[in-house]
Amino acid sequence: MGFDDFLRQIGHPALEAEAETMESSGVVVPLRSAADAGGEQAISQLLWDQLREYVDPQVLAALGEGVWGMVANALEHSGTDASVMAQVYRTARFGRPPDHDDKVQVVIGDVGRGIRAALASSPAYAPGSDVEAIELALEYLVSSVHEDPGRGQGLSTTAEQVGGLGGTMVIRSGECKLTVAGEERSAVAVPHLPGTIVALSLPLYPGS
Amino acid sequence: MLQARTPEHAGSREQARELIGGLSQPLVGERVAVDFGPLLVPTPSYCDEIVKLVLQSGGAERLEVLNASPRARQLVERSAQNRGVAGRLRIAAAVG
Repeated sequence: MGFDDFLRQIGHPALEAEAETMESSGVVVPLRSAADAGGEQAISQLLWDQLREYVDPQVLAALGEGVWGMVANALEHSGTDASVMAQVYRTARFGRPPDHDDKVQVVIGDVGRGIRAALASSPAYAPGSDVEAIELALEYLVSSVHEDPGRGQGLSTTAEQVGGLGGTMVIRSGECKLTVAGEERSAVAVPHLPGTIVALSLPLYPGS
Repeated sequence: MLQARTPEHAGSREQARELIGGLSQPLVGERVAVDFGPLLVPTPSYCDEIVKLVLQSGGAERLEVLNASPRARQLVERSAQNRGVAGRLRIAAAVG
């Protein structure tokens, strides 16, 4: 499955709204599973090495933090492997000065049990729907490992980092797709998707 | 004083366990210094596990954090607050 197909499956807003004007810069980190890459460190390092030439250091750090967290979540909570892909998009032709619409997108996905089932495995939580489960998982220190007070930071801190740089995070799990853009959240019902996909989209040049 | 230095690429709890596990054990009553200088991407999991292993389950007298980026410092301080061990955390020097 190509990157665009992957994003279309999750209905990524960049493709819905901007696909006609977006051109890839040709910087692509193809779909790789954590297992194939050699683990979460290897896949995070792969992403870092391939994007660092093109992406603002602040953005790269936020993406790195997000990928570490989302891959770790998938490996620990989904019961399956995690896959990662990334692409740099520019809104116009090469040689053009940096533009505030230029983006880097990273998608992390798994085909495991999904956020709702993962949280429901803890006696502390019983989300009644996928949207409730995703909203709950976005709260700081909410985790299926509820007995450890430091767990449950990944999704909330990733949303914080991405939002702080003007980016968006799309979480799709079960029958819900929830978009986080700064303080704003919107959820829509979607056909059932096994597992969880998290798509991070950040401007290449924050503040431009 | 026991000392550890993070690698450039580290972010998982398992890697934090490897880092702290490399120190002379037990940590009870010890002062532990962790140099965060090389770390490229601090993550909540990595920072939290270090705080947990050194101050909470390890029972060290003090965790000194050296050369932490602002983000690493923020994550370590949050974890120490979450785990009720902030009184034994020292941030020695910040960079970046």
